Parts: sequence; structure tokens; C-alpha cells
Amino acid sequence: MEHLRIRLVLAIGLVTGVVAAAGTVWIAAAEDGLPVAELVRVETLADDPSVLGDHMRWSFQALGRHRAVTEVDISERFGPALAAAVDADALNATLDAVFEDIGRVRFVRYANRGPNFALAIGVGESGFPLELFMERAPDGRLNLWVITERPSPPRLPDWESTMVLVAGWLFIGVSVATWRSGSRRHPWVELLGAGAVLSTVLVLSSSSWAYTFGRVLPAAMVLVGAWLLLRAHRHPLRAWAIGAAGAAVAAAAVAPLTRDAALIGHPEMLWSIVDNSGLYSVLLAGSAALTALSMLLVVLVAVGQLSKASGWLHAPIWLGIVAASVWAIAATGSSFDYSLGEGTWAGGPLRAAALGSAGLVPVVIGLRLVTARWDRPELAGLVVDLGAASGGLQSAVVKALEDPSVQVLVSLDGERLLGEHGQAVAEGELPADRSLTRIRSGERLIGGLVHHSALVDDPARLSAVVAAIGLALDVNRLNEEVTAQLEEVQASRSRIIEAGDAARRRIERDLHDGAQQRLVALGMDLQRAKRQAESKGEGELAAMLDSATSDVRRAIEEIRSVSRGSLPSLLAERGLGAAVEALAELSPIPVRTEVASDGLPAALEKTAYYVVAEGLTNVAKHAQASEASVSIHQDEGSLWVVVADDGAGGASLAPGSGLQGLEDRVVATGGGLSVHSGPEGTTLTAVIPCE
Amino acid sequence: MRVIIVDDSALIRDGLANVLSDGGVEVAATFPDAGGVLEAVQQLQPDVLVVDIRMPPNFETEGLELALEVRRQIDGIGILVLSQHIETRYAVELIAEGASGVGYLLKDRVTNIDGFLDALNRVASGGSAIDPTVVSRLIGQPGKRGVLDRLTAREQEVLALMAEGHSNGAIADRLIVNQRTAETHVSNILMKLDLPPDAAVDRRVSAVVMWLRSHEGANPLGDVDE
Repeated sequence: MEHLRIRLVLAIGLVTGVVAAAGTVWIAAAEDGLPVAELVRVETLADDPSVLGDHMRWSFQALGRHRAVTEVDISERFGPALAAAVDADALNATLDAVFEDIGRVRFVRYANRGPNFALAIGVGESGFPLELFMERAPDGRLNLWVITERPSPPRLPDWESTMVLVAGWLFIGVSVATWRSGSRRHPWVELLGAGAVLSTVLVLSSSSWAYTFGRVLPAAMVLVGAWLLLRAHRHPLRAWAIGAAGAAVAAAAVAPLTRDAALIGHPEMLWSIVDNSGLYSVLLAGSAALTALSMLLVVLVAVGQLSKASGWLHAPIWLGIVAASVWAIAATGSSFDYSLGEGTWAGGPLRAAALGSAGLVPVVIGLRLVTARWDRPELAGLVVDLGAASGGLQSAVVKALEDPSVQVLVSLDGERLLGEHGQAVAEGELPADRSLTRIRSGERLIGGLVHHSALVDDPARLSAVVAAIGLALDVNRLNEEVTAQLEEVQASRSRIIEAGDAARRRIERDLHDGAQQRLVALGMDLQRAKRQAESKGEGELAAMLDSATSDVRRAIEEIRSVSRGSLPSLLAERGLGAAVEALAELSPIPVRTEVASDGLPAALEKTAYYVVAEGLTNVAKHAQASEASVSIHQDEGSLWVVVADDGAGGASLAPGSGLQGLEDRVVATGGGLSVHSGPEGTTLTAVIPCE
Repeated sequence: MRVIIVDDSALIRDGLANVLSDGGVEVAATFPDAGGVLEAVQQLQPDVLVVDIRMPPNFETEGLELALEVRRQIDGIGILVLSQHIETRYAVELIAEGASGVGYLLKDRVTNIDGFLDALNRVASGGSAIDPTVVSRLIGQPGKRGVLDRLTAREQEVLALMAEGHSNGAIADRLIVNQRTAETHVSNILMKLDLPPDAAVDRRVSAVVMWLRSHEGANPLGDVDE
């Protein structure tokens, strides 16, 4: 629906552009071959020649710009004949003779005379209207004024119509580009600009309607220009600039209320009701002055924004400043020009300058779109910077937007937005040229971005930056959650291992203090019984008791092997070195030991001991090695425990392997366990943090 | 013979007291932990102090500390340390200052009354009693094989018995050979291992154990070599 409307408006804009272009070309082509139509109106002739004379003089004065007045004394040649011409026929015949004589009249269409004058209106050789006015002066002299219509300059010179068409099409083009860029804003104003510029060609029409709009509508260019150039800037002066532009348009619109001599020779305006040549110029001069003021304000606002705007906005702002400056200068000139009388000073160049400035406005808008697009690599940079997390989110965003005043806000509770130093930031408290865009993850408010309001005009950039920041905030949040979970997992893993160790110690202690002691005591009792049986000569019973004692010894052996996996008192009493020696002693193959660290915390020694014990057990069970080595050393805050053999390899940390439990134990300390196993042997390396 | 027994388990204390009494050994006193033992030893003058290595309060090596302390304080007393687990290191520490009157046995050896009484007697009479487990661990050390392979199988058996603290006579009995044969084996072994040939049994034990203990298989008592 929305798109349909925009398309419709764009279509209308395009059609207008095409029609304007075609019409301009057509009219320009037609103008070349056609004489200017009859334009002269004849006022009611009064009988009083002095009245008529005054009127005509006024007329001549007024028309002076477009008409050439030649004064010829015809007293000598035609005085008697004219004096003798008593009736109309005679007068006409005389006038024909006069015209023939001066050789510039094609035909006379109308003639009239009073007692002391004669008037004729005709068409000159070149097709221009021509008036003849004869007067008998009080001194008896006959004066003839030959008033020829000067070929009037074209209402729209070729260069001007070309500029109009180019500027109009630029506006149409930038409307389409704005729409295509995905901007949330409708390109109404750009289309209005196209209309204002293109309506200039209506002055070519002879229709009063078209002509009037052709004179009035182009004045709207200044309003469109001010609006578009300042759209990106929230500034108190902006309202004044647009107000001045509006006043300029209003002044231009009411100017046609006055009928002005300058407009004679053009179609009459629709609402010409006052005959006052002075007022028309004053209004147009005022309109031009207001235009100049508006553009001056535009320049002021834009210059002020240069320091605050993102880098990518600088080029369009500079171009806007150039356009507004030229426009302001041209309008100032036009103001003088109108004050002096239209076209008398430098109307053409001034109109060209103003039109050129208006044509720059769509270029400024287009440049904004283009630089925004060029600038996209910076967005890629933003994502990279966020990934590297160097210097924080804030500085990455500042770099990406080339705007030192952007502020990244974070929301912890999904409601309030907090600034860099934890201060709450409310939308209402932002400066006029700052906007706030909220950043959400799903439904949840996770942050915000305070940025230059101009960024709203580049929704693609804004949404890219916001998406990137959102990702970063999300990643940070998830990171923190995962880290917390990891710490929790690590802690719980430690607790599980601790609990396992404690349970094992308890079982071992129970076995030691309970079953084992009891079995030893039982063994002793059996032996005593055996001796008694022997002493009583009951050899069979003695043998049975001896065999029972053997069973008891085996039971003790078995219990001992159960508790063998636990920590020996040697570790606590004599340290890691002694405990490792003892492990090496139990190995069926030679084990070189090198323990270059002592005074380690008990927990650390314990983990290292388990690594060596499990490592050597694995070597004995699986490696088919001829030799093994254990190396324990400290290095930069880590304890390295390396158990290597020259066996057949095949060890791994895969689930189900005996080393997995060991890995859990090592990882629980915050360290890591690695296994390199190949045909040259196996190396088990544990790195345990020891600070 | 008089002994004092120190063991935290009442079952063991009583069982051991019964066994020893049956064997004609007078149990002068029993203690559940190290407290007061030193004074009792001084007072009662037992021949041997039988002590469990692991006792309250920490159940680590309190018995060992007590044994070493008593040995330092009182000349000529025999010390027999019993342990649920064997650590060669503790055996070595015990005999580091001489193997005379020192024993280190697995606790379950008490279920073999004759063997235990024999060991106790050796310790009481200034000899040594090192648990076969310790000896076999030391001899079984792969690093020693190079040197030990120079011994014959019979010599290796003799070496083990020497290390355990048996006299030449006891070795001859066990191996069912005559004493001269045993003596020949012993002197051959000492020669092959570069150990002093005419050492007394207890010094022989510590020399052999220390030799076995040393990593390189060289003689740690090289300075007494002659």
C-alpha cells in the first residue's frame, strides 16, 4: 500500500518531467518560426488629444523596454495632405502613403483620428505590431511617432530551459534513488522540487493559468531547497531558514496581484487586480531578499553542523554549503535587480546561478546516498573491531560512524538505558541534533545508540550499526553467561572430584581401621588356634587352620590392592619427589624421574601425583615400552607434569579411555591434559596452573 | 624378651600380645598412640618396641617418627615398625643410621607367628628384619638389572635373604645348603657388588639396601670400599 503510493507519486513526477521536457522542446521549436502574436491593446480613444497624448506617452514609457519609438517629423512631406484629409478615406490614403514612405508597414489594421491627431495600428514588415501616432503640435508642427514592437526576448532562453529540465530531472532522479535506497522517508519533497523547477517552463504558455503558475510555482524552489539542505540538521535556526523560504514563496505568490508594465506583452496573470508597477518589483525584490536570507541561514546551520556530523556526511554538507552560498548571492543580486527593474541589471546570470544552486540540491541528496553507500566498508570494519573487542564497543562505533559524539548505551534490566559511566540516559534529555535508536535482542531491550539525527536518513547504515552493536552486546552478555556457567561447571567438577577423593579416603580409612585390622587379628587368632591344635596333636585341624590363615592373608592382600590407588602417606609426609620415586619403583620397566619442584601446595602435588600414577599405570598396562620417564617442573605459573615412554603408542583422551578421569581431574584445577601418542611412544603432558 | 606394643587398633594390640605371650615374649606395655611411649621405654627397658607406622592423630607416619625418636634417645633398643603398606623409602630412612636392631615389616606378617617371632628375635639381638616386599621391590628395580644380572640365580636368592637381615646360618637353613656354601655365595655377592666383604650382618643389610636403593647401581658407600 505504502509502496504503491510512492510508486504512484513517482510515476506522476516522471510523467510531469516528460511532459515538461516535451512541451519545452515543442514550444521552443514553434517559437522559432512564429511572429509574436498581436499583443497590443488599444485603449479607448478619447477626443481630447491631450488626454490621449498623455496616455500614450505613459504607454510609451512603460512599453519602452519592449518597444522602439522613432520620432519622425512628417510636417514637410505630409503636413498639407494630412491637413487636407477631411474624411476617413482621405486620412487612410494619406496614412498609407506615410507608411509606404517610411516603408516599414505591411498593412494597417486600424486607424482613427481626432481633430489634432491620427492613430494607426498595423503590422510591420517583420511581423511585429506597429503603431503610428500623429499629433498636431500647438505650434502647428506635425509629429509622427512610429512605434515598433521590439522583438521581445524569449520568455525562457534555451540555456534556461535546458537548466530547468536538467535540475527537474535531477530532482526526479534523486526521488527515485531515495525510494530505492530503502529510506523510511518518502521522497515527497524531492518530487515537489522537481515540480517547482519544471513548472518554470509554463511561462512559455500563452494560457493565463499556465503562465501564472509558471511565474509563481518556481518560487517554491527555495522552500524545497532549504528544507532538503537542512533536513539532516536539528538546529534552532533551521525553523527560521525554512520560515524565510516560506515568506519568499508567499511574496512571490502575491506579486502577480499587481499588474506591472514589465508583464505587458505576456499573458495576463490570473489574479492581477492592482495597477501598480512599483509594488510588483518591491514584492519580487522582497521575495529575493527573503530567499537570500533563508539560504544564508542554511549556510550558517550547515557550517555549524560540520564539526558534529559523521565523516561520511562532510562531503554532502560542503556541497550544500556551496549551493546555498551561491543561491544566497544570486538572490541578493536578484533583489537589487528587481529593485532596479527586472532585466535591467544582470537578470540572466542571476537566474542561471539560482537555478544552478537549486539543481545542486538533488545532487547533495544524491551524494548523501552515495557516500552512505561508499562508507559501508567502515561498517565491515565495525564488525571486525567489535570482534577484536579492542578498546571497547564505544570506540569501535565512534570509528565506524566517524562521529566522536556517538554514545553506546546498555540496558541491564530491559527498561532503563545506561551510559558509559552507568548514568541513566533518557530520550527527552538529548540535545536537539541527537537521536536515540533502541537496540533489541528479540523483544528484550539490550541497549541503545545516541547518534547524530542525520543518521536517521541512512536507515541501512543505522540498522547495520545497530545490528552490529546488538550482536556485540548479545555476545558480551552470552560470554558473561557462558563464563559464569563455565566457572560453575569447573567448581562443580572440582567438588565432584573432591567428594570422590574424600569418599575414597573414607573407604580406605574404614578398610584400614576396620576390615584390615580385623583380618590381621583373625589371622593371628587362627595361627594361635593352629599352634594349639598342633600341640594337641590334631594335625588335620592345624592344617585347616593354616589354610584358613592363608585365605585371610590373601584377603588382606586384596584389600591392600584396593586401597593402593589412593594417595600414599608418602606424598603428604615426604613430598611429590618421594611419592614419584615410589611410583617409579613399582613400575615393571625402568623409569627415569626428574622432579624439579618442591614446596608446592598439597592440592597441586596431589593432582601431579595422580597424573604420574595414572600415566605410569598406563605405560605398564598398554605401552609395551622398554623405558619411561617422568619429568615435573615449574614454568611461568604452571606446573608441567610429563610422563613419556618409548612404547607402541595408542593412548588417547577419547571417552572411555582410562585417561578421561585424569583429564577431568586436571581440568578441574584450570589446567589441561594432552596426549601425543605415536609409534615412537606416548607423551602425556599435564599443565596445571600453580598461582 | 620384653616388648612394648604401640598400635591404635585394640584388636591388633590384644591379638599381638596374645601371640607374643604364646611365643614366650613378655609384653611389658601396650599403647594406642605415641603418647608416653618414650617414657615407658626408658622406664621398662624393653628389648623391642613394636610400633604401627600409622597412628593418631594424623594417621600418617607418626609410628616412624616415634621409632626414630626412640632410637636416637635409647641405645641398643630394637625397633620393629609394622605397616599396612610398604614404602621402601621408609625402610631406607629407618636403616639410614645403621640397620642394627631395626625391622620394617608388613603388618600381615604377624599372621605367620614363627616368621614374625624370628624377625622379632633378629631385631632384639641387634640384627635386621626388612620385609621381603621391600627387598623384592629393590631387587626388582629394572635399573639395577644390568649389575644384578652378573649374579647367578642362587646368588640373587642369597642377596634377597641378606637384605632381609638373615645371617649366613639362616640363609643356609632356608636354602637348605651347608653354611660354607652360603658363606661362599655371600662373599661372591659382596665382591661382585663392590661391597666390604667382612661386614657384620646388620651393616651388611644397610650396605646391600643402600646399594640397591642407589639409582645408578653404584656403591653408595664407595668410601668404605677396600
